[in-house]
Amino acid sequence: MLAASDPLFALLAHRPALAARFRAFYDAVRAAAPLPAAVLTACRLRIAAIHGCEAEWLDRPADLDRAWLPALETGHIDELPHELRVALVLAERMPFGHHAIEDGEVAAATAAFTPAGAVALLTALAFFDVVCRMRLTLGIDREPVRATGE
Amino acid sequence: MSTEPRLPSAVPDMPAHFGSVMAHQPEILGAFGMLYGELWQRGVVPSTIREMTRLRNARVTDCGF
Repeated sequence: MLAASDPLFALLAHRPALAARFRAFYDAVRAAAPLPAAVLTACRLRIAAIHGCEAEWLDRPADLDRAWLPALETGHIDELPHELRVALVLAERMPFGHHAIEDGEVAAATAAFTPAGAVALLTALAFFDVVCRMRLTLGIDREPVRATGE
Repeated sequence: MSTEPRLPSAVPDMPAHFGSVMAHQPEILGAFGMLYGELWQRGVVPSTIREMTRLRNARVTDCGF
């Protein structure tokens, strides 16, 4: 969740203004109502698993339902709650299959989360994808994103 | 891929486009604008290279906009 000790921020610090605005955008995405935080976390982890981005995959909040992890690692999400599946269907496609997203899948997200929630969700998915790509291309995808005890 | 907007405009009497749909989330839209502006206005990479990479990225991702 982009802690202060995150190596990504250490690199972005070469451009302090960019780092600040990057952070502000990330915080706005995370705080967007009416999207449940647990849904956002699950989508971030699924996208991390698709990319094989270990740093993001291992960055899990304490209140995350650990029973979700096998499904988030494999993409076999049939047993997860409905709202979560609606979001994860879109998360599944965002990294390498965004053209395959169907009208009905966006409509399902709109029904589950309202238009404002669907906008927040799709923006968040794209951003999580970007963050994984940045970590992978910068070679910091295996660096812990937060210091011990943070 | 849809050729029609999948979400409605959040701005009365305005058709659905990137800005009017993103307006459902004003704080995200504002923060995005600030980030994007920083990338475009104060970057150390020459603007011609930035524009070329933007266009190439649009082609690779098949984004007609």
